[in-house]
Amino acid sequence: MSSDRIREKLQILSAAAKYDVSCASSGVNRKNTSKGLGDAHACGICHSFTEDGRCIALLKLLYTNNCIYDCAFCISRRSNDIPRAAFTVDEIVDLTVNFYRRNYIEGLFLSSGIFRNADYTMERLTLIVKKLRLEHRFNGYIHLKTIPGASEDLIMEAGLYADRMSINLELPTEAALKQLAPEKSHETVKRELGLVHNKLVLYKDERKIIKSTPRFVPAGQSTQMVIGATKETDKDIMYTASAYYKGFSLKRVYYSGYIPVNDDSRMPAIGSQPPLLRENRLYQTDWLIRLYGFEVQEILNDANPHLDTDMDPKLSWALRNLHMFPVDVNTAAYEMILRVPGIGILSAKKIIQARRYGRLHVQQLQKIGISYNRAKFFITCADSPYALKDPDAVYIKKNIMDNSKSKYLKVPQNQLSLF
Amino acid sequence: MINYLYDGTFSGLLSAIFDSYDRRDKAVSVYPEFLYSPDLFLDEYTVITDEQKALRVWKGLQHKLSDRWQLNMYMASFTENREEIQHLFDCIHYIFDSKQNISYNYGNEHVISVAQTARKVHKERHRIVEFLRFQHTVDGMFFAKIDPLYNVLPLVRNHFKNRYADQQWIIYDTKRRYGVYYDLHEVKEVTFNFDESLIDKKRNKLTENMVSQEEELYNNLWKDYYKSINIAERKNSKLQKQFLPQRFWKNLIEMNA
Ligand code: SF4
Repeated sequence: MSSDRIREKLQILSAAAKYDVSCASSGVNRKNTSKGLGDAHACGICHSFTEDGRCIALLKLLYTNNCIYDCAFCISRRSNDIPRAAFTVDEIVDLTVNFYRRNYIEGLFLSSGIFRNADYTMERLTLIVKKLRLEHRFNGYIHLKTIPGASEDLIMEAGLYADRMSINLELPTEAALKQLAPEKSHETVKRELGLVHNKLVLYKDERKIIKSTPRFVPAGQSTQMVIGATKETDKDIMYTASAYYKGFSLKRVYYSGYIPVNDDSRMPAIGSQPPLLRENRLYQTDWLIRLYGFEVQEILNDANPHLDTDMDPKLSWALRNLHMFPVDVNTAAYEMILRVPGIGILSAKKIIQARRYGRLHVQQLQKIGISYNRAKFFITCADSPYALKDPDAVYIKKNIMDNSKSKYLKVPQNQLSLF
Repeated sequence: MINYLYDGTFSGLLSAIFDSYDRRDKAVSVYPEFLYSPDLFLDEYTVITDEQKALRVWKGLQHKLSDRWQLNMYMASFTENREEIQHLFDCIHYIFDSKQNISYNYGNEHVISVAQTARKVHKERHRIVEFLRFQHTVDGMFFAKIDPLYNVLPLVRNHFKNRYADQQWIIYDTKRRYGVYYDLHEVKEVTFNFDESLIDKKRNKLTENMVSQEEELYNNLWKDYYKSINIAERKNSKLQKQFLPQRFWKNLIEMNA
């Protein structure tokens, strides 16, 4: 291959792939058997970070940006006049292996525009992952997008080689999708998530009995929604997310702040800032639901359809529920300590372990690593100076805000700073 | 008050523990050799590293500690900070002197310090796993150089052995002047003085005649990739630096345009 042409293809087909935000390489331990190339770690490894502070773990590529669909929010839609390209199977295999050998990446994230038809495209993608696994004995991480409308057989075959599969909801509601991407539907997404999910559960059960049952999408499935392109509330978004988490045991839902790429009066104009703070708040809520034991209805409901912008959702929830505080860290249950603003999972676990040796004091809590200036309004400990007899939400909020100016008044950190 | 001097290894530190019980010394300050400057006003005792003694102490610790905490102890012993070493020493004493299992007593200053030190070492190890880069040499070898805060080579060699089982590689620590070499069968420690003239100083890479023919192409492809997946609208350099400390940039071709 000529080096100029391959460089050009890589530029086009990686630039078009960047709007898929997932870069996770985690969730699976894949061992390097028989001295092949690579392995995968459950904890996930980043090999670089972009200027916007996003982790680079995977080589994220489209097989082609040719597409028969015309989704209004997508740079690759067929009505756009842009340079088009397509890799060959070998080119993607080569890039993956050579990047991997130099420790640039954990593996491959492969997606594609829909070229000719769904099955043709899905077949190409499957060929690539199959070649990597079988011919190159590649044991690195592979995330494969399911092409909407592909046949069951192809999806099932791909699942034998991929670690994770995903298909994007694109927009939070079916109504919005109908409007902006009429060729797509949440029904298709459900069908394909469902196919993979059922097989996954089946194989897992079989593996318990028959050890040689092949692994099938061992790192599970994920999906993504673009937020801020259409007018949903945070409640709409999180209720959709929560339903998909429950219905298909998804590993992750990704929220991608819309970056306008096309002129379209129905969506924000080109040049508008992506809603990064909102995105951050949604991720925080997502964590509260997945890892902190909250129900989505506790955080978002008809009375509170939007997340606060000036404080994180855990603090908002606590201020709305002051009757549940203060929590005595020396006696309270783990689940309740986890709900205290300023205490994360690690600190909560340490508190539970440490208090067996004696009642904990302020200084020890600080050393354990809780954010005391935040937590102090919500807890009591052995020498707690704060006795919240008459807790006042406005007072607490003002106090916390004044003490954490730098963090909350500045423009959104494009990050997941979690509690 | 007495100063103990040991060779800086984990076995050395465990030997120091053994000796301190043996000699009934109280208020011991421990110093690894590389951090020591003699103090004329204090007594001084030089610990002789003795694998037998070290093993006895370690066995005793294993008895009292969970797997997790055994790992914490080992990780923390890689620190090159004097106070953290002292906390580790005192923590081990504290563990032996208590009747109950106190390793989860995060309210104790030595215990929490060891946990934190172990985390720091673990983090540095993880960063080497993330930001180490191999260059493909003319003789088909993959070469990487590192200069980590702690001596983490012993902690990363298995990771690379498992991952890159079908290619030969060398990782060289320029700060501590030794490396590890994988010959497709096993990983060996190698000590050599790295010939600085093999490095193109300006680009901080092996010189052109040292690398394979396609190395340049894949370097360029990687730099192209790095540029084209950036989303300009989301720029946040502060966050980037937090995850990717600047001291690593010199080894990353994508950070040097
Ligand atoms: S199907 Fe995918 S690539 Fe094609 S226009 Fe829609 S979003 Fe873009």
